[in-house]
Amino acid sequence: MIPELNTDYWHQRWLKGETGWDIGGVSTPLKEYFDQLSDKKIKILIPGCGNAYEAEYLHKKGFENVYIIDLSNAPLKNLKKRVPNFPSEHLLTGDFFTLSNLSFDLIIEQTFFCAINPELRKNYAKQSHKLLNPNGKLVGLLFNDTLNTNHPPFGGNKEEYKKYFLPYFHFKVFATSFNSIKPRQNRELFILFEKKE
Amino acid sequence: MSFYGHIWIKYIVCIFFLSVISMHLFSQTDTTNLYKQFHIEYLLDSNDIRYFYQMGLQIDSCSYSPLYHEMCLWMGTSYHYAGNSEKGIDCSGLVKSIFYKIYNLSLSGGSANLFLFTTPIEKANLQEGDLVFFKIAKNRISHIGIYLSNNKFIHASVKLGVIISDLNEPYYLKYFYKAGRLP
Ligand SMILES: C[S@@+](CC[C@H](N)C(=O)[O-])C[C@H]1O[C@@H](n2cnc3c(N)ncnc32)[C@H](O)[C@@H]1O
Repeated sequence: MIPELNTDYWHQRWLKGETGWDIGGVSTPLKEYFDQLSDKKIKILIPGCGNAYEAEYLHKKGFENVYIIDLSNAPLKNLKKRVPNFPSEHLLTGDFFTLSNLSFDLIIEQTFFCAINPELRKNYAKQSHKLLNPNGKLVGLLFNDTLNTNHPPFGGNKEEYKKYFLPYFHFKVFATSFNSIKPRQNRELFILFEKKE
Repeated sequence: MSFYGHIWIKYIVCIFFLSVISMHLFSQTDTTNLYKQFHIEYLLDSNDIRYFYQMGLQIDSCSYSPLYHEMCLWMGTSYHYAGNSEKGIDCSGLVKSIFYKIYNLSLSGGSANLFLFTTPIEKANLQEGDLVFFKIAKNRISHIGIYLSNNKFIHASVKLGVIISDLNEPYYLKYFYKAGRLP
């Protein structure tokens, strides 16, 4: 039985400090990906952002259109405290799956996909596709490991992920990440998927 | 939003209650007793119904009674920025409290944030429980209300507190931005 992974569940975890996924800074694979982006005007979304060190990093590099969303406002407040001039209207509190009225050029994934109920994975692919502009990209990391079956983080593998994403994306990169942080070495895939149509 | 079960049940119940209500409005029938017999949760008493009727709202059983019941509790509450209690409430606070109570939906943030979680709908297709958004301050979404029926919506007005207003009042016509529906 998987508990209902709703706002209360995540908000409680934030309040109790049960945030074992938090690595305290931007991860190397994402940092190196960001470092080679040149257009600072692109619209970026980080769903299930948590403390959003990636957003902080991008903001400091001069990216102007970074949006982050989390069910719990606790980590958003943390970011606002660390980076007071991060635009407040880019801090979205709510459910990624019901976000609408906005579109992006780039969506960044890191330990959000593994945090949702696996039944929602197909929906994740669909919703990412919906939120992306033409040629928009979904970039980030997916665990390539079994992990847990009854609570987050939920694991998975390349074959399984293909099923969800193939209907919506072209796979540009889909390989074991070579620059993962130590505890995740050889356990995660780097993805760069481009929106179909 | 689908607040109702089978359409036909809704239809029959609706016709029945419509007749009850019209009896009430045009004769001395005591609807309170009639309602009591049915043990429906969140009953509105005849005073509530008359109250809303005076504001141009026809409450019938097609209306989602918990919404009106909850509204009764908030009407007249004064406005307080970022407030969310009977002592004072702001526009998004009112929407969040009502939606949490009656639809068990946890919503967060201000009106601009809430707008991002709705699917846009045409003004002409507004239904009870939809949200209406206004751009009053600068060019940003700064105000929100819950649509009822007959162009009326409930909201926490900065000057007047929790009130029912009409979308066709010049002020709200001028600042109306968009309407949206929560999933
Ligand atoms: C495991 S954490 C990952 C945080 C961050 N990505 C990181 O790498 O540190 C998952 C986050 O997703 C949030 N979350 C879970 N379900 C969500 C949903 N449906 N919409 C938005 N955020 C959600 C949780 O509140 C939590 O902060």
